Amino acid sequence: MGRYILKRLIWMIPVVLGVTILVFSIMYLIPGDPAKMMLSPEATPEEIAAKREELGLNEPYLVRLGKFLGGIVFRFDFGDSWVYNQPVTKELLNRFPRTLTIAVICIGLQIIIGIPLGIIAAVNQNGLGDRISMFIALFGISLPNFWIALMLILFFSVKLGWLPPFGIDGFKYYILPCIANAFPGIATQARQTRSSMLEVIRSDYITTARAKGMSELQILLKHALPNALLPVITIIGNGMGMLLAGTVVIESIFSIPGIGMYLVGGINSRDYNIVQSSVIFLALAFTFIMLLVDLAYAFIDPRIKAQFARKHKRGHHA
Amino acid sequence: MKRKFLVVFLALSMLLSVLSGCAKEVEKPVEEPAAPAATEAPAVTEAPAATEVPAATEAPVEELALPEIVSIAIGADPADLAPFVGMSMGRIAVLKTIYEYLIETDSMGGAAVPMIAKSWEKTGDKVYKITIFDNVYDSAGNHITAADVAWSYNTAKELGNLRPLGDIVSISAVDDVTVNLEVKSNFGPGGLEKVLSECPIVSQKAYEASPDGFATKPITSGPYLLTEYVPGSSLTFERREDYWQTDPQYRTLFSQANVKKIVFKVITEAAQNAIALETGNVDIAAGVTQDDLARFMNNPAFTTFNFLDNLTQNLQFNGSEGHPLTNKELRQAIAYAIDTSAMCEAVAPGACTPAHTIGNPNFGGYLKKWESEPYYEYDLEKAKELFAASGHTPGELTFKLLAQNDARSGLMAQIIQAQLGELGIAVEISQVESAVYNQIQYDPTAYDLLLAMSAGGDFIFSPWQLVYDQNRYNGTTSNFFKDDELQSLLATVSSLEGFNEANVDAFQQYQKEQLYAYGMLSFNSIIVADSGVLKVVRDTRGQVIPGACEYAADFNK
Repeated sequence: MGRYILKRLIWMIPVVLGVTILVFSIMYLIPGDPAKMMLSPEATPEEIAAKREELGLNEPYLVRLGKFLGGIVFRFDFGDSWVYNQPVTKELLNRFPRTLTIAVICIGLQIIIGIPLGIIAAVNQNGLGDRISMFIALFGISLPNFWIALMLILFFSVKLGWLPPFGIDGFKYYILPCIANAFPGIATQARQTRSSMLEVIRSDYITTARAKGMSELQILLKHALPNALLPVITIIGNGMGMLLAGTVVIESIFSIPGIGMYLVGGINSRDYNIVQSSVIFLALAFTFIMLLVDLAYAFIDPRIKAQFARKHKRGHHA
Repeated sequence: MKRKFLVVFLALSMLLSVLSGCAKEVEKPVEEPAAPAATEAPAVTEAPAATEVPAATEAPVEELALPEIVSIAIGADPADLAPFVGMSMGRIAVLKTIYEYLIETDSMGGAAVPMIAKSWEKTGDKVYKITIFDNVYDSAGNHITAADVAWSYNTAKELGNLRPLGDIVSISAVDDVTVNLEVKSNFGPGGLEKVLSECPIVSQKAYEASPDGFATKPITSGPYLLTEYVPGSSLTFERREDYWQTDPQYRTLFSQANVKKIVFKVITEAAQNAIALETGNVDIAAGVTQDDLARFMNNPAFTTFNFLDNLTQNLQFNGSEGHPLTNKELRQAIAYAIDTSAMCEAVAPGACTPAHTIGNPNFGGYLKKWESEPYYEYDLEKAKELFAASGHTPGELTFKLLAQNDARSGLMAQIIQAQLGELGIAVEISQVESAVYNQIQYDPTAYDLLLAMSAGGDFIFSPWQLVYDQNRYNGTTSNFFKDDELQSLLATVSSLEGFNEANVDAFQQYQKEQLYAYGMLSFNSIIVADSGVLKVVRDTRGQVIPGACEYAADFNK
């Protein structure tokens, strides 16, 4: 298992390097002059040229890419933001906990609500429970999260005055953003769980378990659910990655200074260091989460664990 | 067992992440040495010199009558509070509350009022003498002297982020209160004021002791002290009891401190401004959307303040060699075909004013008489006559209209498209994001018609310079016309000697006739405030100065 983790960690290097080169090249090629964006409209061509020189924008592509990669690899330094004049690494680390908070709570809600909904739907296939669960899932997947966010604000903040409409001053400030952001994921989770469960409960070993006289609850929890969870875990892993990179809409609506807002601000102002660094940071986080998902597979699915064990034995015999 | 351990481990990790993320993130300014008490600050020693511009202001409001707190919505996080870095939307909103400058102008094209500078005078060719108050102290008790002023300017000039400072040749301290300033060329109207009001003045000692160059914990001489900065979320300021300027006659507009505590709250989603006002989370918001404004207009709990924006929305014609729009009749035909009053009603009803030039009454030197003179008011018949006179026939021309990708520009572009359709000109709209727009607007192949916004400095020639100054754009106007007479008139009107009513009018009549660009309208900026806010005061960039606003006696008590 240790070798597998090490191998996966080593595989992260080309992935992140590829992302770095790709995002750097995209930023290099898209139109929009950061020097012009930084200076006032009254700036003369000479002043713009001087600013470009100062920012190193006149250097060849490979020199700029080399400097950027060198900073990351040797010093874990993403450079300074041109617009904010602050180290990007510091700002990313300041903002990441907020984005992570939203992502983790959302995933939690998706698991707590989505999986039971899917199970209820599967065990009551074509019954009332199935219809109600799938209606909720359809509802969640059809409504955009920004609309849900605004409705929640109007009801809980404006109408009832229970929760703050924006800000980051404490736990209660995260309740509405997380609910709004979790909705589509809950729906996806419910549908995936239902589909997996339906496949599993038709299996022979479930019939055998019934024949042995096990209760339906026991069959569900001991045999059906663990086997149905594998594709669900994949969805959770992907969902976590998507949530980390895709909370920008929710961050914007609730004025939460997370990584998504930072990234969008960087794109608008052509602050290359912010854009490149945020994307690389998110790519790192995403690949790390996918590694955790794969490891979780090994723990949950005995077949994968056994596969590792066999490889390990063969290695020793050789 | 392993599975249980994993479950417990993951659960704990998630819980820890949640807790760490939810902790209140606050950066507090470092402990500062005790500032000198108000009584310790040396008194103002000299009477104003003849050249001084004493501001007509009232004495600060009595401490007891001051409201406790006011909250203001701002659209973006300043992120970096340092004094000498470039402007951003978030920084513009708070800089005048954080820093003090040598002088301020009380309105666009208005009077210059003293802040740290007590007086200023021209002492030679391109040389000025500036005298500062001798009792300027920052919140940490550092005495701000002429050496600090010179150091602030030289540091800012070296960094190159504050554009007007590029006009400075040298600036140096003569003694504790006198600074000599030498500039590259003699200034036109407002030129000196722009230089003197651009650079924040800070103590060199305090700045150099700051670990992050005042990025998060600035120490300044202003009437408010930043006590809490939650990056990305809020900034809290508290009124200084030891503010150095104790002489009421010099407590100019921006040195007022009419409330004890100011909280700027970052609201990035426009729709949230209305909600924040309605839920009492903020008292003043400038970014309420057009759709939400109706809820506040006749609501006794709120007051709306209507200000004309500095930007003029204008239509620029491509004047590159051989382009059909080098034909004057065609340009005039297009202007007559566009109904700017209808455009105002459609795009921003009640918050829009048709223009009569590129610029508006906010700018110094604007002549009211232009509003009663003809300026291409909508007349389709006349437009058709001019179109025929231009030698073109309906259906023959297709123009590409370049605009930024905001909602208002989109609406305006669609209206222009529809109205030029009446004339027989097809219009293809190309909306691009601002960074791309800024890049390609100087490319003669990128557009035929350009939907532009022009602002500029304090005086009416400033937005004209942005469009027409051929010295800035390789010998043509920004939209590729070459016209020596236009340039000569512009040079005259923007000089100190030539800036008078006759020359301003001469330029206006010439540009109106040639119509290289057509000034269409200016939007109004509507600020919504709690009804306890009696008067909203803004700086020349249109930002609310909460310390200078006026409040009802029972506001937020």
